[in-house]
Amino acid sequence: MILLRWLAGLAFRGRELVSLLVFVGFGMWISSQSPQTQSHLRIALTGSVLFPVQAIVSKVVFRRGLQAELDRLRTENVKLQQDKAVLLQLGDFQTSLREFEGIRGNLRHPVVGARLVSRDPLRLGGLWIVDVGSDSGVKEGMAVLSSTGLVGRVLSSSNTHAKVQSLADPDCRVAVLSTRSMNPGILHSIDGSGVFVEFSVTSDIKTGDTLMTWGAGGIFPRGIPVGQVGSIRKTPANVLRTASVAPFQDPWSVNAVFVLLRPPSLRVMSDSFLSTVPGKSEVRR
Amino acid sequence: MTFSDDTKKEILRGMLVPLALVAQATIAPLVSLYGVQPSLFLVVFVLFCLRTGALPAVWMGFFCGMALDTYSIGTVGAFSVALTIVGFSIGQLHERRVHLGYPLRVSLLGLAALLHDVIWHLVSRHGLGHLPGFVLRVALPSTLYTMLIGAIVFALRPPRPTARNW
Repeated sequence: MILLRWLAGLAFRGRELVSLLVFVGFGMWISSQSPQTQSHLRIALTGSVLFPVQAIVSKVVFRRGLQAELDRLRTENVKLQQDKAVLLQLGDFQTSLREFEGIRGNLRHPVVGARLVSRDPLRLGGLWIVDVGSDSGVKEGMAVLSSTGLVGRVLSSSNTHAKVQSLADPDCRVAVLSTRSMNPGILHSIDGSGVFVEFSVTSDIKTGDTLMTWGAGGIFPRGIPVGQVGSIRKTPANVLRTASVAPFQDPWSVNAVFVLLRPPSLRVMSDSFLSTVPGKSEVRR
Repeated sequence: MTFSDDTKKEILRGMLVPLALVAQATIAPLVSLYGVQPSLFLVVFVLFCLRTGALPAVWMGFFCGMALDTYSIGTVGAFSVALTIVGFSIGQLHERRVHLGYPLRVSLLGLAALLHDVIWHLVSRHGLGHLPGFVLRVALPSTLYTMLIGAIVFALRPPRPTARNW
């Protein structure tokens, strides 16, 4: 007992040294153990003495993991949205292709599918760029259709792209016929906001008539559906009449079109060319 | 429960060392130069040892070392042994007993860093033959970087002007 008390007193007086010896001894002992034992000690420490530290570390790691996961998901989401947009476009295009297959048999010329790349804002969206060009056989003056009706014509083409003039373009003129009376009219767009047909007072065109291409200009083959005649109004001179037309293919919403690979049967001259020819102020289209 | 100002200071001092351990794990890799990291933990730990003496330094060194051992890949016990011995050694130069000037403190930090690395290397059983190479390529650059950081920190935290109980 006295010996124990003496030893305790000695240990207390030299507690720094005792602590050092105990800790160094423990450290040396544990470092000499097998990796399995060391691993067990690690697990025991993280589950007991270092549990608060472990809890904080785990929480931090978990939060950082969550943040990293969130960032990854955001990036992935953006990519998926992009893919979805592309797929939706392709889906629209495929739907148009399917619909077009129904009328393809009625056409005597081959067609090539195209997607709208852009619309010219300066021309009220009436001029478009499509993603096919002369490499695909697209040439100036060819008719552009959709599965539901006439869309416009090709103004010019490069190797991979072509410029298309739609029915909504104020400079576009198309000779049309009423399918009921076969009386002619001229389809045009006044300001790009709507499509109208202008016809003589003697022409038998009534509200509800269906219009189709006449084929007189040589650009559009005869018989392509164009639209339905709406309200008719007289012009002040009472020589011509103008009627609004609801196009079968809305030119402001179309995204996929088809170019009819049929060269125009008549020479199509641009307006700029016409202005250089004396005595030629207009052309029959 | 109320604490005196001295006790509050002691508690704060005791909390600074584990915080330095966290800083070592998070900030030190960001300020590494050519792969050499300073030991921010040792800077704070040496200050702690000088302020509190050997006994708290030994205990603090052992537990911080054990925490490092637990979360590091190497041999368990290497850090705890190294920090315990460093804590005991530096703790002998308690501010109450010895007054160390600024240059001596920085030199002492360098010695502590070198001693820590050598003990860690030996206890980790990396081999005595590799010790010179380890000291030259790893320990010495790290020690110099640690001394540089320590020189800044010690300048901000000057030693007490007089040694008490001498």
